[in-house]
Amino acid sequence: MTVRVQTADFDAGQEIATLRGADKRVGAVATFIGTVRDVNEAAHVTSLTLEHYPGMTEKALEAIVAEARSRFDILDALIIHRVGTLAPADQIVLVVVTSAHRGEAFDACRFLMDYLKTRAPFWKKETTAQGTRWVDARASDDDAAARWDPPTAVPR
Amino acid sequence: MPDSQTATSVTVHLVYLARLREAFGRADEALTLPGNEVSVTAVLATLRARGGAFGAELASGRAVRVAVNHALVGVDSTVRDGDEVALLPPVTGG
Repeated sequence: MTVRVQTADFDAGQEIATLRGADKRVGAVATFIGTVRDVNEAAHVTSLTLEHYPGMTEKALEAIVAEARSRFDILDALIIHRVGTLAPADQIVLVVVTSAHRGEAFDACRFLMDYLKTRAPFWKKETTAQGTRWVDARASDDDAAARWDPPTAVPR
Repeated sequence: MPDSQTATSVTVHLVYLARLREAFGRADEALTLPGNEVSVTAVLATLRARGGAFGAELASGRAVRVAVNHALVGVDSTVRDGDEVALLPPVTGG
């Protein structure tokens, strides 16, 4: 498994090829790419700056991948998350999961993104014509992550 | 008795991230509290008592999470001398 935090862009095709390698057990590759939208809460976004907590970020992402491995029958997983200043249409995040079958690959990919959105220490600050502002967390992201909790779990 | 029992204060390295760093006007600072072991709640209460941006940002009901030595913890956990204690606004990555 691999997690990377970087300012540079990524080539999803190349990353997928590297993760698959020559592993003939792989029958499914699920990929998610998050990109910068130019509109958020009705204002036109001209740039987005992503900040993180160096030292904790990699550990948090590794813990999320480890959790996915314990829940789903996957072969390998990759998370790349960019930081720094990005423009609309730029790529922000890449998640790739390999598995023998599509069901586990789809589920694990979605799980990784839902947990990353609520547990990895990244923060977005957007710039519009009105100035800059920190993006607020969304309750819908908590709801998405909570879908993966067992029904009996106590809310955190 | 272990040596730590002879200590009379705990000094932690506070780290403020994102919105909190800007609101507090600093990225980090050292904070010393009396005792051998103090709770996260006590650390937050000390900062909140400063008033101003600290009082506003750490008011009850504000969603602030705490990481001790790079791991998220609950407010009932304790911190020890030398720990890195980070205050995190709700995360918005992805």
